[in-house]
Amino acid sequence: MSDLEDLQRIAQRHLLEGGPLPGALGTALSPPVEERWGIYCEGYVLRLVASLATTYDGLAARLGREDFDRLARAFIAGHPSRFRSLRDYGAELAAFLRARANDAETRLQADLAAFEWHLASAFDAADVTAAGIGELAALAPEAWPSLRFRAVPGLGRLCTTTNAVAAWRAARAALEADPAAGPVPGPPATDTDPVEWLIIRPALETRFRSLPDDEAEALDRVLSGATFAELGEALAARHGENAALAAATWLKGWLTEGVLLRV
Amino acid sequence: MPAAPSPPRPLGFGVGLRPAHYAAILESAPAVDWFEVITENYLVGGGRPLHFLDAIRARYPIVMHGVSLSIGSTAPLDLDYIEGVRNLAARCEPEWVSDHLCWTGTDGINLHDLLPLPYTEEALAHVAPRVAEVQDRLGRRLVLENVSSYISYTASAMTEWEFLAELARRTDCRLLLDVNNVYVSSRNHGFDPRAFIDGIPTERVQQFHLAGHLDLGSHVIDTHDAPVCEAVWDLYAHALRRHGPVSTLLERDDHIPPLEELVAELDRARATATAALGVAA
Repeated sequence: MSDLEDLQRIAQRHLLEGGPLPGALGTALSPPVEERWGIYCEGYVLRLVASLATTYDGLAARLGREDFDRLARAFIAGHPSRFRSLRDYGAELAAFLRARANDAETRLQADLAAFEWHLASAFDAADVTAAGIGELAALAPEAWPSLRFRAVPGLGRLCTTTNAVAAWRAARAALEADPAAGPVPGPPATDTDPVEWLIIRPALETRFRSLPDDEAEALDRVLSGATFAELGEALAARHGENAALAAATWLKGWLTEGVLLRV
Repeated sequence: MPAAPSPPRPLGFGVGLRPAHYAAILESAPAVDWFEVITENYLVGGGRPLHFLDAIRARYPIVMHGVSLSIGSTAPLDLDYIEGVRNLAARCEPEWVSDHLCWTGTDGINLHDLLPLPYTEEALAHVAPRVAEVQDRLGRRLVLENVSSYISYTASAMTEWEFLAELARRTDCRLLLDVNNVYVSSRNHGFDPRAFIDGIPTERVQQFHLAGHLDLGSHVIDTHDAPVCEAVWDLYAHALRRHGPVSTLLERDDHIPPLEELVAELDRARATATAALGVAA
């Protein structure tokens, strides 16, 4: 190992984990080297906290600055960045929160983090031209059974079991009135029946809506690679002779919304 | 070694492109000669970032300024990242591509800190071929910026400006002389900032940066959250007299004011250049 490699490994380990200060650092000036190196250590944490507060601004507003800062620092301690862009940092925050959740409020926070991560992922996902109704209408009828689709880039699917989206709406409204708002109490946290959500960004604006359970199941089948014919078969058990009509109705809606790409 | 070709024609006076100003730029066509974009903010698939980058690029020259190349790291170069930079450059056709002389992490971790290198022959021998490889992969010269620093290394055997000048000589790269960073580091390490400015070969200087900082008395922290201070304006005037008209960029990354405030501060840069050079820069 070269001296430079050794120095960088030791310095990085200290910055992430603390411990003895790298001996290669020196200064004869004030402030002492410990305080100087501390500027880097704190700068590292502050940048990641700021990045998380941007990605999860609804959660940050609900918690308020101090509680969000505490949460972010706990998360950062176990999750060093492996990304060139801070925009990509923090995907695991929802799982981190879910593992610690023990009441409706903390379950809401985990749902809210998952929801906001999907919003962030959709925000700058690749621009594509989604499959449209006109394109499919031009197909011969015999081509329909074998049609396959995949999700447009950035499409988000998640299931919430709390009123997290209502909390997000309250936080957004407060942030639009005052970007420094927080803590924003919003609606009290409540556990709910599972609600399925679809998030897409068909042009520049991100959109989301809840999905009825059977539509969510059908969409997930299509996104998993099921053909139109296979979708119809899967729906037959629940919808009987109306399965094909249900499949066609949903497909028309997804094509209008810009949810799918042809495979 | 043949003399380096002259840097391209100065772009004039620019500001860092920040999302808070997208609408104002497109609506008011401000008196800004060019914009510098943070490369990593646009290494994305699409959406609003690239939409506004394309729209603003159609009206103004652009320079790409990265923070994650980690040219000084002992970890292997991130070839996927460099490919992303190359593809973005192909899309927005920047006047040039810059990053920092620093390391930002190793072993797959990014500390998002611009950590200084020890100024040693070992570090030079490590960094120079990496700069050459990046330049080959990008198909263009790299422009490297001096960072603000708070620590130094006992192993350093040359000054930062000697290191930069020698790196530029070995690799034919260009330099982004951050006048605020020179000032911040000079206060933190007790050197003469004019010696730094004077120690950089003029033919290598592609760009100046100006920014604000936090002065704590015993030391200075580079925060980019305040207007440029008087001492940095004075040092900028010295840099202009030493290196001539050089593309100048005003940075603000926090406490971002309305665009018109930055444009007014940019006017001071113009006036400083006019006074220092005796003609309109």
